[in-house]
Amino acid sequence: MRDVNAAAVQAGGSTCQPESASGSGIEVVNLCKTYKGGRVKAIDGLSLTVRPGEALGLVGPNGAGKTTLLGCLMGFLNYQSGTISIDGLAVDDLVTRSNVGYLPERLTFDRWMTGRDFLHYHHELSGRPHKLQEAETEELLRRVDLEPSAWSKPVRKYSRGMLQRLGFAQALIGKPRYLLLDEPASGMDPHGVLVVQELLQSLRAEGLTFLLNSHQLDQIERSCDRVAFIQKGKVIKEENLRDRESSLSHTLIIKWLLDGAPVEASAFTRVTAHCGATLEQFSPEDGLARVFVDNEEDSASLIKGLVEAGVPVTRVLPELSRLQRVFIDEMRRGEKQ
Amino acid sequence: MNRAICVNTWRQFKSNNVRLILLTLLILAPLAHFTWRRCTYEYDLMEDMISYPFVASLFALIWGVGVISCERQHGTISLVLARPLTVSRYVLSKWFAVGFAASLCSLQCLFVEHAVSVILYPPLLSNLDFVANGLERVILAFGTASMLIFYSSLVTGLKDLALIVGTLFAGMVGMQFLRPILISEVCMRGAGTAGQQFMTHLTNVVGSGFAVFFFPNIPVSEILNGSSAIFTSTINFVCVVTVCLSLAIFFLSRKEFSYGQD
Repeated sequence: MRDVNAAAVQAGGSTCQPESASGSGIEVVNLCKTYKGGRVKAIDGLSLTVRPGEALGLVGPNGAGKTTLLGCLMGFLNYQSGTISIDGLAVDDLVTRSNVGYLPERLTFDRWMTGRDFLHYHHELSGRPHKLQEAETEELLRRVDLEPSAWSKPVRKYSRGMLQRLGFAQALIGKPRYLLLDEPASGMDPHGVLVVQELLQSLRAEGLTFLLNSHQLDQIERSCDRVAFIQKGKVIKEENLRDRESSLSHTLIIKWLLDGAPVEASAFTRVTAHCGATLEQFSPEDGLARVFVDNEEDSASLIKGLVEAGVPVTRVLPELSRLQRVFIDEMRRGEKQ
Repeated sequence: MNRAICVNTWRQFKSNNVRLILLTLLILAPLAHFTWRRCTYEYDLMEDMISYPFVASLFALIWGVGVISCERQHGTISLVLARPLTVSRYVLSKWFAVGFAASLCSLQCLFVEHAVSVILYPPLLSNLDFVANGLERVILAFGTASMLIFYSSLVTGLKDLALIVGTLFAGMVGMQFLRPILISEVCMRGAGTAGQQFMTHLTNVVGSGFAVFFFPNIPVSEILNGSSAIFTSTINFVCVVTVCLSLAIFFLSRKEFSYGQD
């Protein structure tokens, strides 16, 4: 039987007080995972790197292999070929396990346990000092915004959102340096989604490295530095979300005041043509137009031109978020292939 | 051992009403039986009425069925194994939890029985047979627990109970019906004396192995009487426990885990 602390010392790390952004991150090289004796390829030569302190979002259609990838990263699934290392160590190494927190999409609980019991149990399993158990448990329960009246209730009485919050607290109980999150806001009410959003942002500010698998693209866009598009078990594109999006073309929705003088279609067309943009839709009765622009410079000159032409512009919104656009483009490309 | 896993196993059991009822019945049943026998004067009051150590196996069965397989079915095992904990430590903790709980229950049963005998006939206080009986119960509880852990690592849900019953039934059928046929003269015609001896010996070994596997015990009372060899029994017991636990660790290490229903 291997002693966790001894293993941590051997690897030059600490299990109890992990540093926030050290180590070599998560490295997945040419990973292949099949089911049903090789007939179903869930992951097909996937390679991925997550640097320490970075937040990576995983995006892809259902059945793309995202959850399987997280299963392999946690060491629950045996893969056929390729390598996975976290801080240079194997996924089933005890030091790795003490450094990684995991929130599955649908967490299962012993129904008789109370929320507090559940966290106490995992606190002890994580090897955290017993004297800190009560304080750390309460801190986490508050952090995930779980009602104090629910702490001592059996989890069978919890709603789906409450279970998800408890699951999130469980993922953070061992003070992990890496967090693998599979649909963290799944089943939550709007308030719960906001709590998860705030949590993710605060974790990112603390320098925690996380891998977020979510179908909520806005959540990934707000919380992650980078996004990997996965389709048919492969990373088909990686996108840096912190870059300026000057090179990307997109459609803008422009809205104006309906109370003032009517906006002429000819004036609108002239301004858009002058800026190199394309007018796709013009609805004077609704007070909105859809305009396709090539880049950010064109957007700026379009807005300036419209204001100078006397259009009482109230809002300029992108029709789709940046990630939504890239996602749709990639999915279309994948379908064509 | 991991304290958290042991405590969680006991608390899991406490939350299961069916098992609690079975446990209570198992504690009370021998006592009720002896009281009935005393009332009908079938037994003398001067006898120390204590049940056989075999009761410990039943306690282990109540505690141990589904101890790992139910966790696998519900998916809670994945979250435990995601923690810095080896599979071997998990298996050993479960084994200890089941063995310890079954020992405690069967010892409690023994003490109640002995106490009733002593109350009815105080000189029985100096009778130390119950010490050997208690020791045997503890050994049997841990031995049976290892066998249950092995079965529990193979399947999910309560299928391990079906597997145990099935194996036991198959073994009994084999010993009662197949063995006489295999070593009968009709079957062994032309095999020669050496062949007959080999076959008889083989069936005996298989039968003994089967008995040792399902009843892993060190017969302390018989050893103290001098009617049984301590060395052979100890080796048998250690082998069963080691093989069962090693196989359980091996099977669980090779399994893939997922969340939700397996």
